[in-house]
Amino acid sequence: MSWQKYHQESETLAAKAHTLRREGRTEDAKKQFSLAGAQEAKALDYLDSSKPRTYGITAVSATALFYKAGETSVAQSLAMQSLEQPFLPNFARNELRSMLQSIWNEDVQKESASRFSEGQITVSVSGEKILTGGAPLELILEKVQAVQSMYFRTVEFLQNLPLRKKGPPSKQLLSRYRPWLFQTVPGSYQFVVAIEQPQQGELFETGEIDPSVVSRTFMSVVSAISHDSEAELAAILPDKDYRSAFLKLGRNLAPNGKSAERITIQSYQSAEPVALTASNRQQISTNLRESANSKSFASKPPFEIKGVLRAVNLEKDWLEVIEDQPIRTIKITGLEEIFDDLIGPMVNKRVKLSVEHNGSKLRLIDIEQSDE
Amino acid sequence: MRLKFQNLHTRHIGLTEPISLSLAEAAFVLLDANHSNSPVLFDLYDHKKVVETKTDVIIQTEVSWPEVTPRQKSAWNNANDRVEDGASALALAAVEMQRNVVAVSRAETKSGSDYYLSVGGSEVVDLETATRLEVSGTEKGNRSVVNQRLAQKIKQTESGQSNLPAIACVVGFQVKIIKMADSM
Repeated sequence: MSWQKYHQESETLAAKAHTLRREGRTEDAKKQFSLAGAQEAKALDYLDSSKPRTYGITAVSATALFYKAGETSVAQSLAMQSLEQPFLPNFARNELRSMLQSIWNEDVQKESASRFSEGQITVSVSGEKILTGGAPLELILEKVQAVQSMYFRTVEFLQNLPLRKKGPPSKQLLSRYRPWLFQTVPGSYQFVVAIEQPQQGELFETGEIDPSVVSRTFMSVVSAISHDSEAELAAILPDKDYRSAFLKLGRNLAPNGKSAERITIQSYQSAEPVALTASNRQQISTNLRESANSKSFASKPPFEIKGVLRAVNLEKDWLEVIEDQPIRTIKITGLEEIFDDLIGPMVNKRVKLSVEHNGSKLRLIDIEQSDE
Repeated sequence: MRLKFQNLHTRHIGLTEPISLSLAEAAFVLLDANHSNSPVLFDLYDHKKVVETKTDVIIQTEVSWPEVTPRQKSAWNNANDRVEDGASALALAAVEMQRNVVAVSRAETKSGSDYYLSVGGSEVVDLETATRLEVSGTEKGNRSVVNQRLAQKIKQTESGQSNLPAIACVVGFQVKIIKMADSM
């Protein structure tokens, strides 16, 4: 036998495993992945420093197969043995480290008293000002908050609840779908969001949604936003209020092109990552303002105000902005389409508003955070 | 010129018949879902040819598929699986057409599988000179999504995360475009 024969045998078994997984036969798939991993590990034995690239590709493949089989201790051992080889190419080193970090995260989660559902998502923030493993705190807090908001809204949407305009999510939702943050391998700046399962013994009540379904829907929504596709978003979110809410939250999540250039989101369930860029942010703003302008009856055109958001009272329908030039406090009304988790993070931050005259008052068309 | 993405196993030694038929079936389902009639014309754009010829070369290639059954649609219900596999079918056929290379091997990664390419015909004893094919697909995404994905794939490999020569190929099913570029 040779590398070639064992590797080909591994490929055949892996193909069967993928087919079984697609058919929903998860346990059978894992068995096939395990058999494929064993063959790939044997293939690795036929390689040495004279074939570094082949060694790297095969090492990653064997580790990945055992990882997919759920045999994480075997995968870990194989990865660490391979990493010891001085001739291992960088591409393989990076991929093996990434798998080890995933394995360690999963081990920590298994050992903890809490249990975590399928459907973890990884969020990466990248750009010139982002370091490997480091990023401005304010930026990360903003993105973590946006992800959390969108996640809870996805649950509410799937539960067919009317769009929540005021207040936080219900206590029941907060206790059933608690998101946790885990670290991941530094590539840009990355974090993993995992959802804690209900405590053992508690079953999902009627109307509660499986967290893996929430993650899939969340990814579909973000994907549609990244495609700038109104039609795709409408297919997922037929309710126009939810659509508008997700677009606004998606805009908060998308980078502004200055502090970060790209936000990439990936879930374990979806091989393809979804990327949000500054152009998505601009397109969302354009679409929201065009939609708002089309409903306006004001005689004068809308105009822009830039400043710092100082106060918000959604109950009494007003917000106050300290404008830049001239420096003055402006009160704006018409906050029907604004909600807590959208505007809360903007308080005491620089904002850009589109407003129109409504008699003697100013009515809000749109508001977004601004670095200008 | 027709894009030969069916029966890839007859030319790509790295694909068995079951894999080849499966990839093609995923592509059929996607094409059927996004276009009312077969065939359609896809724009095939190869950045390497653009650089070599100093012209904006776009080749139009005919993509055809048979009638898709309800059973096939149901089997490929998972959007991520069908896009990943369907895009692989078209990408493999596209690189074969443009670069005269075929898949000689497939290997697993954490998030999926990668194909390794070499000049067709010869049996593979190792992957030292093989080129990795990095495939990305989008069902509903527009041209800017395709461009964005291609740029992302290239940036990923150039940033030092990979020192393996690769061809990145992005397939947009609804927008009917296949774009490829070399990274490294």
